[in-house]
Amino acid sequence: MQAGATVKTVRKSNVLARHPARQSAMLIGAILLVALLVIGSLWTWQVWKEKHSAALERSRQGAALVSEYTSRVMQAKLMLLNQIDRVMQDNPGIEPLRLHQTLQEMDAGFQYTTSLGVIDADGTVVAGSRTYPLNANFSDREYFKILHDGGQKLVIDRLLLRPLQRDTMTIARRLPGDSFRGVATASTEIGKFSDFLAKMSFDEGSAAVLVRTDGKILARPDSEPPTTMLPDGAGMRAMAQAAAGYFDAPGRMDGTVRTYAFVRVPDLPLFAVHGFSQREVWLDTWRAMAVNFVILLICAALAYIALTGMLRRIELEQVRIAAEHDRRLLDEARRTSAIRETMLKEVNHRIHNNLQTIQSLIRIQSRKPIEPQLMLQEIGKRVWAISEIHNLLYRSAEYSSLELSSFIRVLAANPGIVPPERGVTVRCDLETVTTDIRQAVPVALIALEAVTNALKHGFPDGRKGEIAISLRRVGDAAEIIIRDNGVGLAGDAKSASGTKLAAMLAEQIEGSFSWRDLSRDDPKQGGVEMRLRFPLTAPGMAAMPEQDAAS
Amino acid sequence: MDEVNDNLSGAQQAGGKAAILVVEDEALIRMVIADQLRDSGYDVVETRSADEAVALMEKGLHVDVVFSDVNLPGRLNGIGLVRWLRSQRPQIPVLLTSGAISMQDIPADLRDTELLLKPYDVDEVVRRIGPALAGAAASP
Repeated sequence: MQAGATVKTVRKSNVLARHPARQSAMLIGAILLVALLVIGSLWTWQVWKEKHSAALERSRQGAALVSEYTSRVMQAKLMLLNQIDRVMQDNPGIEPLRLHQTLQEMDAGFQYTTSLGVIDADGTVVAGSRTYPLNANFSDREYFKILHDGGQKLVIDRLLLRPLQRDTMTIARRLPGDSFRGVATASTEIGKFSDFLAKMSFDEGSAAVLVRTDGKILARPDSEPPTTMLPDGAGMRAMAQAAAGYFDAPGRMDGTVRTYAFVRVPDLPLFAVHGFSQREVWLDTWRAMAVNFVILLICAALAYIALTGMLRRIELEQVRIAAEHDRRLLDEARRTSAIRETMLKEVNHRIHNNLQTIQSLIRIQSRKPIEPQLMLQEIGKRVWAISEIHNLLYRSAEYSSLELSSFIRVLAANPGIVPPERGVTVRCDLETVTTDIRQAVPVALIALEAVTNALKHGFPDGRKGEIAISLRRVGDAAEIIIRDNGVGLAGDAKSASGTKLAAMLAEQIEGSFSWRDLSRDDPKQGGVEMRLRFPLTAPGMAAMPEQDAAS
Repeated sequence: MDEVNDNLSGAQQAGGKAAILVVEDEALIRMVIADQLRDSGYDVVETRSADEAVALMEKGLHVDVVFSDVNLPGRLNGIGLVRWLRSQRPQIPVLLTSGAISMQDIPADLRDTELLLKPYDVDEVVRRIGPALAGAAASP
């Protein structure tokens, strides 16, 4: 299984290697995807930040409104308690019925009041605004105990009023006096708060509550019983440190994680708290980003299409250029091959012709009345000259031309042609002259004949001397001068077969050939000068039969 | 052109011997084959190009057999010379020689021409001249 996976991977990489456009497209796709993710993340973070800030501001405002509302309601209650205080001070020992009536009148004047009551120092209800007589004792109430013990002068709590069992927010305060004389209470139906808090929970998942400073949640958007904040929770810690601020915490009832804004209700032991659901902010962010992501995806898709299209065009252009390059190379190779084929034909032609020439030389030599050994030596030298021309030809780049100077240097250095023991030195003064293959063999044979003749006739009886060879270019022609400082032309030297051969070869290459006895001009100097001048033809091929047939 | 006139007069003076025209640009080769043919009893005219050979014949040179190289300098090569002979002197047999080509390289319509590849033995040339002359004499 693992081997199969490896083969698949290798094949895939091979496919990619063979298709760079596909590789590039994948790379572009990956880059665009990463760019999309980065841009999308940054954009999402920015949108979330804006929405979170807005939600935070709404919660802050919501908490402020809850605080304002609570403050106003509670201030009204405090005003009623103040009135009760005045009644109790102005009318010590007031009849319970009278007090009931007074409370009833006061209660009726306020919209949100559910009940007013006065409790004596023993916890016995003196009078209430809604029920009379009310034979009850509230000494067991928590607020009564707190006020009786003197820890606080004012307590706010959520209570079920007896006997009507109405769920209320009650504010209780000690009656004025140095000693504990009792408690005055003012209650408001909790619904008045919960309805308002429900209205304030305007956003999905948001919540507004009223929390007492000890962490008891007195009022919520619903009518659920009060709960208590976690003593060591983030909310309690934040509210212990500041009168206003923010904290993150899960809801005590629904567990929804919210960010809460809180503010202390002025002059009351209450905090107005408003929180928004973090999940809702995220959902809101995603809803907003959905459109943005669609736009980003469209942009990325368009960019992908444009970039891959551009890459494809570039790759096609590269393929076209490569194909054009290959085509040129192929054409060049074909041309080179054709040239080499033609060259090979020409070289073969020259080989066959030169073999025929060698055969002719043998025939010519065989007619001469000389010793067979000497005859073979002369033939051997001529065959060597022809083979050396071929050696140089094969070393040339084009196989169709060669440097004459190279041959003359080899000729001068060949001990078989110029034996060192003869004491004749050969001095060369050579320019670079390139000659056609068809001219090379006749010129080589002429030069060989001149040097051989100089050695043979110019330096008899062990005479020492010098042979000077010069090669230079004269316009479109080449000139070879071979001069010795020997004894000069011997009687029949000029008519020797070698001389005739040289003359014929010179005619073959349309050149001029001459011998001059220098001893006639200057007997002291002596010697012979051979001069060959021939037109240089451009290296090329002889006319092929096909060319002629076509013409 | 003087060379042409010299060759013309030389061949015409030869009288009853068969006349062989040797067309070869390589001097040594031409000299040896010409000497061998002369030694064999033929009149020989030497030229170094096909153009020169055509000029001679157009001036009236009598030729019984042409022995020509294929690769020649000038306007015509050996193949061109054969074509000229086929049209102007169809009775003259031709023996071609070349160091560059084989029979496959000769145009299809001329492949009945005899071809001797270089390097050849000069005695072989002499041996082939006889039948060529006999064939020419037998033709109408």
